[in-house]
Amino acid sequence: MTGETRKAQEAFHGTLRAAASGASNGQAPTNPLWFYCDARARCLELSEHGLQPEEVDFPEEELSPAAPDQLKKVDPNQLALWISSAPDPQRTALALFYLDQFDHREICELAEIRLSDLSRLLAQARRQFQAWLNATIPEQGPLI
Amino acid sequence: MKSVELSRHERVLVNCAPIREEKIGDRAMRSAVFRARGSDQFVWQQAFDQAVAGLVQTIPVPSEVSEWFSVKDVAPIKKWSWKKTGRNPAVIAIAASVVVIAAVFAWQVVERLHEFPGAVSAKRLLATASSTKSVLLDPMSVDAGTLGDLFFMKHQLEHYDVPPEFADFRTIGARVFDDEDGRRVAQIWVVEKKMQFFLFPAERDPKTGAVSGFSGWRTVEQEGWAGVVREKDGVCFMAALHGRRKDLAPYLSKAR
Repeated sequence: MTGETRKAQEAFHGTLRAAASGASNGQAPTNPLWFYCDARARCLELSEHGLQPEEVDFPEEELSPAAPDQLKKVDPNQLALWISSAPDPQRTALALFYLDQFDHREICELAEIRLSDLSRLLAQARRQFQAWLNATIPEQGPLI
Repeated sequence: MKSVELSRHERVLVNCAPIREEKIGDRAMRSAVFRARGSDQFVWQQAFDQAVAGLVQTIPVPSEVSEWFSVKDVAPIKKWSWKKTGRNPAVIAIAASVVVIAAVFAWQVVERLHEFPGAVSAKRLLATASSTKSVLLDPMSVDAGTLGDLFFMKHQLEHYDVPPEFADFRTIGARVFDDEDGRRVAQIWVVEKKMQFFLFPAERDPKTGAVSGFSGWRTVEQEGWAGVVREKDGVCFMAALHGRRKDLAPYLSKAR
């Protein structure tokens, strides 16, 4: 979410402090997603400081059946960078969707977006990532 | 390339379809995924999502981030001090109720320890002792120990003997009466501390008729009166006085 360990740590400890403070006052969070909501808000706030990713219109390409093979050649850190540099709320949507722990309703609640927006953002991100894959890891043609 | 006609809403849902089908918990989503399953586009989308999710799982966690979670107390819980725990109303309520329950239990145990066959009769006679006026008794000034013969000869009461511990006390008066159950009771008033002696039949087993005896001296207390009771030959003797059981203790220890 932040792309920086220091900022992530600050958000992490901020959320923990808020939870501990609430608990000591007898105000334990009732919303099971409270930790994620709070951590996301802190990450976004911290991301506003420092270097900002350049706003670029990424090219988009249709999904390829060869994408899984292309992805095998991708460094996981590159994927992490790619997600963390996405503009929010797309960044939140991608991070939560590919963590594979939340359903679409929970992601909408956490990212504070509607279902149609989530759908659009995910579809757009897939096409953009496919274009990036095609540019960096060209599809291998059939061996003759 | 196979494609399927989907409604706008179904297309919206299919774009958010869970990476693993078993995670679908929504009827509308299940229906949309079921319809989209036949299209190549959806199959590629699922393969793409699964590959990306697999790659996400392999993103290395920086060592400093791992350390955040290796610390035992990520969010240290402040331990309650004994003082704070003691002030908690719930703890006070529990402690109070435990003390009351323990006190009631202990009282019942102590009561049970003092129980003996004839205790009910003895307590009833303590009430009689508290309400007896000396004029009700036939005046006689003799040693209490000599009255056993009188009870036997005049009232045919066998073994109605005053124990040696109390036999030497001078009497003020004596009488024989029937209690509520029609049993013969001998009552003696002595000078010593205005004590009263009672001789009454020991309890018997209702089935066998055998005497429910007990050994040694037992004590009873009721409404400011105390008594020591002993059973011998089917007859109970009780010495009673207005006071506490410790007031009677010297007479028993003297005998020992």
